[in-house]
Amino acid sequence: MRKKATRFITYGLAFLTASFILTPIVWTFLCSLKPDSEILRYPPTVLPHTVILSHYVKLLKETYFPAYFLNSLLVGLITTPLTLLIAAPGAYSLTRFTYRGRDIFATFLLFSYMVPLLLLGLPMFMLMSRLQLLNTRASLILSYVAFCLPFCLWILRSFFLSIPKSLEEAAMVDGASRVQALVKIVLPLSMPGLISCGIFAFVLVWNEYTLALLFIRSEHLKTLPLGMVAFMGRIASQWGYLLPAIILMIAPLLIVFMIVQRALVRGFLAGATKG
Amino acid sequence: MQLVLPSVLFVGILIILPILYNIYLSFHFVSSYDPLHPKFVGLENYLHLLRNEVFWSDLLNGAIYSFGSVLLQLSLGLVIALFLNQDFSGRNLLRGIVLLPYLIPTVCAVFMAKWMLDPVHGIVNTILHPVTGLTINWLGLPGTAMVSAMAVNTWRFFPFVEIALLARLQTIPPSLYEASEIDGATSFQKFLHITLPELSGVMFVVALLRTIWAFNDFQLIFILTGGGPMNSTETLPLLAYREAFDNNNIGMGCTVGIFMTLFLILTFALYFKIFNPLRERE
Repeated sequence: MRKKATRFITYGLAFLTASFILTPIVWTFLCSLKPDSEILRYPPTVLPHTVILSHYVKLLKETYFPAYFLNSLLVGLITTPLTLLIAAPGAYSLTRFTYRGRDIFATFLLFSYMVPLLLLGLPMFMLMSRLQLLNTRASLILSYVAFCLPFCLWILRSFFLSIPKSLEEAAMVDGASRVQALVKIVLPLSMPGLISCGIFAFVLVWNEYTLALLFIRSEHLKTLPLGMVAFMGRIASQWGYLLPAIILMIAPLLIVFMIVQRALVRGFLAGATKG
Repeated sequence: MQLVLPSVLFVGILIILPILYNIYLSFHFVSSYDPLHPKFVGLENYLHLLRNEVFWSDLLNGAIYSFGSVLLQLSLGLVIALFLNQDFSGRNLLRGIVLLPYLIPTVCAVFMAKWMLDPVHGIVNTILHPVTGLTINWLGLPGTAMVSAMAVNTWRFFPFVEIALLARLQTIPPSLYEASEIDGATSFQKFLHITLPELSGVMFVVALLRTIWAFNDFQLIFILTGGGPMNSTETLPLLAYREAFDNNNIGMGCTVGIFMTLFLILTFALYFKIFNPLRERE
């Protein structure tokens, strides 16, 4: 009897937790499928009486949404590999060599995330205007790489520290160069770290609003967060456009998350059987 | 050594240099239409802010917003972490679901909230109306606007607290609980005397980080309420933006940034003095 009660409470709690998280997303998705008249009906319908996709079609055909989406994708797909390309050798150097200022640099990285974004944003705006980079995608890519680096350097550093030096030394005795040792031995062993850094960078770009607001003026250069807000202002309370836009903006993240989560779990399992 | 050079260059030019540049700019008048010709004004920006009532009320708003959000995140994160540390089927799926809000862009979270809180068409009022008989304009009234901002912040960021606490819960050795069971401890006593003390270190760090990030948050409030109604949800980052672009003085915006950093350092110092769990262990 007692066991039954515990089970009941457990699944009650599980249901509460899941609905707390999922209600806004599911509700937005359901409403995005309703025609205008039904979106604004009182009282609202839970499941759409008429399912239509015309809001999605209109969004893609009649607005700048595809441009916003492609801009975010482009900036994200350049920022992510660039960050990893810079962070991996950097973190490697921080763990394998000693030089002056190394520890100060590593400690500064940790504190850089506590600096108010606007404290960086306003002088960055000035810097970009001096470099004549305002209103370009390059301004976003450069500053996003800089923002991702501290986290990625820190994570990769801890991964590299856990890999014994003797592995590389053995390879180098066999004639491999330092770079080959990094690429062939250290990086494959740090895959989960590289994946989490990649996700971090892409999610940061996909989410970032403040710097884009400061740097970008032209409609055709705006990224998704900036574009969505511009949308809201221009077509006031046009929820028919905004709701599908929210869903389309979340969708790629969900897909990436589902793929990568499985890969991560597999990676951990493989590691466990080897150990 | 050369391997770290690109990282140093990026961080140096795009993070360290702007911080120093910010200090320099805070002593200047800089028009946002003509940003290349700053005019030195000494301490004028600093004095203007200190004499400005809005500055102080924005500071208070920021304190309320961060404190409220972090308190909610900690309680929710703790309860859900404790729950997800139990054994039941479907647990791993639920662990995955709980991470979702942390992945969802703030813009989306804010717009979903706006849609649900819409006074006429929003689901929240539709559900509450039969109970309260009121049509509440959530984002249009000072008190409820602040509560709404905290709620969105909590939904969006509590997974961070939950992951950190869950990870720490999994490292508590079961032998501690077994030993206390032999001594006849109740579940509540076990929670109070084993779980909470073990978690206190992580909670300290997590609370500190989340407080800083909520205090520095610009995007969420800016899109949700724009600081309104009547400045009731305006925090210092929004003031910085307003001074820089609406009032056309980037230097003043930079000065707000300097004050924010000073307040943060002060809060840090106080926080470490009151709560530092590392000291208690000695």
